[in-house]
Amino acid sequence: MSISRRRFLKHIVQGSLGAAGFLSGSDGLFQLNAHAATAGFSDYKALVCVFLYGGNDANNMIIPVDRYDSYAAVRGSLALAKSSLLPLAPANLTERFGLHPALSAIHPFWESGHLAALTNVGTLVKPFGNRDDYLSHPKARPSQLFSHLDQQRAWETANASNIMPSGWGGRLAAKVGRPETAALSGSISLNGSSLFSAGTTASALVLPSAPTPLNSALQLTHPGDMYTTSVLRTLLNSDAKSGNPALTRAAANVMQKAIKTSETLAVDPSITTVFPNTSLAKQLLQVCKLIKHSQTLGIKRQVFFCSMSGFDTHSNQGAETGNQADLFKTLGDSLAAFYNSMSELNLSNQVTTFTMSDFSRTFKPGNGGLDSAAGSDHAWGGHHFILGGAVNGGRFYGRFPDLALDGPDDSDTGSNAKGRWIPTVSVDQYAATLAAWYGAGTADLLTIFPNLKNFSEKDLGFFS
Amino acid sequence: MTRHFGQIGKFLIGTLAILLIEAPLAASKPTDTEIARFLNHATFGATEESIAQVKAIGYEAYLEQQFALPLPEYSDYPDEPNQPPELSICDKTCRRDNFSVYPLQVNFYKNALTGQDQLRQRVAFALSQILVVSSQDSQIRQPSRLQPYLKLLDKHAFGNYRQLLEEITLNPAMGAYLDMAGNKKTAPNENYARELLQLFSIGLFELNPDGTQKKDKTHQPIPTFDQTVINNFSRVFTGWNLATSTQDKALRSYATPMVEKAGNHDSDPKVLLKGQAIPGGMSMANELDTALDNVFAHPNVAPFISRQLIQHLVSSNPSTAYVARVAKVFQSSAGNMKLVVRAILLDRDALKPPTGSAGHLREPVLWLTHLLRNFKVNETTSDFVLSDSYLPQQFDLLQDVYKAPSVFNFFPPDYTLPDSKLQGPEFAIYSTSEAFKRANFAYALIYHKLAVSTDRPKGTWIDTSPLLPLATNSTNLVDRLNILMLHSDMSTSMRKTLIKTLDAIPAAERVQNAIYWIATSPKYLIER
Repeated sequence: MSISRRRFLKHIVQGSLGAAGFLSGSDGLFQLNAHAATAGFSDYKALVCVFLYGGNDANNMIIPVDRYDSYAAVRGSLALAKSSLLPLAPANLTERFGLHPALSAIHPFWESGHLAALTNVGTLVKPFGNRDDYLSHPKARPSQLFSHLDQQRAWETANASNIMPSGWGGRLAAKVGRPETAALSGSISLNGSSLFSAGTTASALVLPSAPTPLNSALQLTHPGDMYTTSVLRTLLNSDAKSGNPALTRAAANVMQKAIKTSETLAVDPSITTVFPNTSLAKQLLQVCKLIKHSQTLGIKRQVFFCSMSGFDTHSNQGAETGNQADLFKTLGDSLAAFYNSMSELNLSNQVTTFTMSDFSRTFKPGNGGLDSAAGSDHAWGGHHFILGGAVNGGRFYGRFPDLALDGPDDSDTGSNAKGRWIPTVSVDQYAATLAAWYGAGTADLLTIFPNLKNFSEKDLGFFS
Repeated sequence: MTRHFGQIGKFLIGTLAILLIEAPLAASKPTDTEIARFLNHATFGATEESIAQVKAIGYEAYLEQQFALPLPEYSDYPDEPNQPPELSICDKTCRRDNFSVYPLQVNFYKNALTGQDQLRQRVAFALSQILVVSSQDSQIRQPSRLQPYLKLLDKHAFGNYRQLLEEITLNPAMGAYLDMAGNKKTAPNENYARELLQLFSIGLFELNPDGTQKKDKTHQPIPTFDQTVINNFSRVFTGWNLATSTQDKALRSYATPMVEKAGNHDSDPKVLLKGQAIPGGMSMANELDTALDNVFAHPNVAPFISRQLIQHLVSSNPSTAYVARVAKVFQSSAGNMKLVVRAILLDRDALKPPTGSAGHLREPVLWLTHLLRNFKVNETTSDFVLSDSYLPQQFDLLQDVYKAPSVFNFFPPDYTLPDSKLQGPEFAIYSTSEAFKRANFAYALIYHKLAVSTDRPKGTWIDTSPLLPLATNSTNLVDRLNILMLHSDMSTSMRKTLIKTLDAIPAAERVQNAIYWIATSPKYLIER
C-alpha cells in the first residue's frame, strides 16, 4: 500500500466514518470504499490524461542505447542518431536508454525524479505468459487489435474485451470524490466529448480550451441572459422529461448540464506561468485555471482529459526532426509548462499527468508513398510517461521489450514480421495504479476496471 | 402519386400487391409536416417552396427531377505545386483561393443553401463522411487536388458504389491521404488497405443482412479480417502513383487517376478475403479489379454502407427491418446508388410519423443549413463563408466541411449515448461546449450577423423583416414560425410557453427572441 493510500484511509477513519465499520475486516473495507464516494477528502488530487491520438511510435520516444546497433539496423531512415539522444539512466535498471531530443523540456523532470516511464504497456484482457501463449490463444486477444477507434476505446474505457459506453476517467471521478450530478463535474474534457471522460449516466463535461477565459467558457451571448436562460430552462425541462423521445431528452440533458455548469464558472483565475501557443498547451492552461478555481470551490478530486492528434505517422515520420519530432516538441513543452504551473499553485505533488495512445507503431518502417519519407504502421504495446511530484520517477516500470523481429515479444511471425510488441503490462494495471493514488479502494478498482481481476499485480508502484 | 410507386416500379406484381394491401394509406395525401420530413432527409432543409413543390408532384416525381438534374459546374483549377509561390507573387488571398479548402467550402454552402441539386449534394455530403479525404492533410489542401475527389462523390451519389470504390482507390487525393500513392513492394504501407476494409466497405465484424452482428458459438462477434489479410491487401495496393501533370512536367496530376509503376508492384500471389487466392503475375489493373471484386462480393458491404447512409440521411437507430430492406436493394442492384437512395427515402420507416428512437441529432452543418433555409438565405444575406476554419473560434462547431480530424470522420457511426443503448453519432460532437456555441452562433445570425472580415466579405444573417408585421400578435408569430422552422410539428406545451413568454415582452423584441428560442430548443436540434 502506498503512503498516499494509507493517508487516505487514515483520513476516512479519523473523519466521518465510525470505527465499527473499519474494524470489521474485509466487509469493513468495502464499506470504506462505498463511503469514499461521498466522504470529504482533506487534500486535493487531480489526474490529467494526455491522449496521443493516432498511435504514437514509442519506439522512437525511448531508445535502448545499449542495443543501439540492432535498433538502428531495423529502423533504417527512422533511426535517431545516438548522439542526439538525451540520457535516461533508470535508477532501477542497469541498462541505459535515450530520450527523443524533441522531448528535452521534460528531461529535467526525469533528472529530478518526477518523471517515470511505463514500458511496453498496452491493451490486454489477461496477461500472456509468453509469445507462445499469445500465438496459441487467439480468443484471449483484445478485440480488434491495430484498429484506431477500437484501440482508443479500449484505452479510454480500460476494457479490452467489451466496448463500454463510459470511460475509466468518468467512472473513477464518479466513484471517488464527486457524484455525476455535481454542478461542476469531477470529469472534464478540454478537447471534445472523449469517451475517457464519459460517466455511466452522463456524457462528459466538455469545456473549451484557453484562450477562452474560464468565466466565458460556458456563456450565452444573448443580451437578456437571465431571461433567456429562464425560457430555455422551461423548454429544456419540458423536453428532458421522461416520455419524450430519448434523443430529444439527450439533447436537452447536454444543454441543461451546460447551464448548470456555467453557474460555477464565474471567474477567470490568473496564471503567471507562460504556456506555449499550441492546442495542447491551451487545453492544459485551462486545466490549470480549473484546478486553481476548484480550490476556492472546495473541490477535492478531479480527472481531466486533454489530447493531441497527428501521431498516425504512416509516412514522413521523421527522426530527430520532422513530424513526430514536432509533435514531441509540442507535447514536451506543454507538459513542462503545466508542471511548472502546478508548482506555481503549490500543487505539483497533488496533480499527476500521464499519457495514453491508441497503440505504438511497427518497429520496422513502412514505405512513405508519394514524395514522402518512411513511416510506420499500427502496432500494439508502447511506452508512456507519468509526470508529477508524487511520482517515483527516474525509473522504468514494466519490462522493456526485446526488439527482435519475429522475436520473443513480437506478435508478428515469419520473415515479414514488423515488430508489434505484445504488451507485458495492461492498460488496466496502469490505470488502476493511477486510480489507487487518486483514492480508489480495492473494491472500487475492481468495479471500475472489470478485467483487473485477471492481473495479479494491481499496483505497478510508480508512486512514492 | 403513392409513396410506393417508384420504389418497386419495376415489379408490377409487387406494386399491385402493395397497392391492394395499403390502398387506404395510399389514398390519403401526405401532410405538410410529412412532406417536410421527407425533404429534411433529401435536402439541406425543407422550405415552403420545396414543400409546395412536392405537394404538387409527389415524392416519386420529385426524386426523378432531382436525379435528372445535371452535375454542378466546377471551377477550373490548374495543377498546383506543393507550396505556393512567394508572397509577392501569390498573396494572402491567392493562397486562400488556391492553397486552402476555402473556395470548396464556400461552394459547398452555396450549393447546400441555394442550389437546386439538393439530393445529389446531400448524398455526396454523406459520402464525404464515409469515404473521408481530409484537407487537414497539407498535401491535399489545394482545391485543385481535392476537387477531383469531390467530383467523384457528386457523380456516384447517383452512380454505383462498386465503381466509386474503384475510382476512389485510384483517386490521387485519396492516394496521398492514405499513402497508397507511391506505395512500393519493398515495405508495403498498410494504411489504405486497412481503412478500405474497415471504413469504406465491410467493417470490422461479420454482419447479417439486416446490419446486426453475426455471433460465433460463444456469442462473440466474428472479425471480418485479420492482420494477414491487411498484409495481403497492402501488397495489392503497391505500384500505383500519380501521373505527371500535362500542364507542367514538374507537377503531378490530381485530376486524373493514378497510374501504374509496375516496378514498384508486388506481383506475387496473394490471399484475400474469405481465403480467395489470386495468382502471381497478374497485370496491375487486373489484380486491383479482382481485389475490389473480392471486397465488394463480401455480404457485409450492402448492410454496412446502407446503414451508414440511413444514419446520415434519416435516423441514427434504424430498425433492422429498414436496414435489411435497403441492403436488399443495394445487394440486388450491385450498388446502384439511385435505387439505394430511393429505397432509403421512400421506405415506410422514413415516411411514417416518427416513433421511439427515430431521427437524429442535426449535425452542425445540417442544423445551420436548415436554419438558414428556413429564412430563405440567399446571395444578399450570405457570403456562404460558414465553415469553422474561417469563423471566429467561439463558433467552432467541430464540423469543418472536407476537413475532418481523421479518416474516422467528425463522429463515428456507432457513438453511443450515455445511460442508453441508443446510438447518436452526431452527439460525439455535441457537448456542453458545443451546445452553447450553437446557441451563440444562432444568436449572431438572428440578432446581428456573422461579423465581416477579409475572408467574410458580407457575413451571413437571418432576414427577420418579413416576420415583423406578425410581432404584434404572439400567437400568429409562433404559429408562423412553427410552420417555417418546425414544419407544424411544435408541441402544445412549447407553443404555450413561447406565446406566454412573448406576450410579456415588447413587440419589437419578439421576432428575434422567438426564432432564437426555437433554434436552440432540443425539439429543433433533433430532426425526427
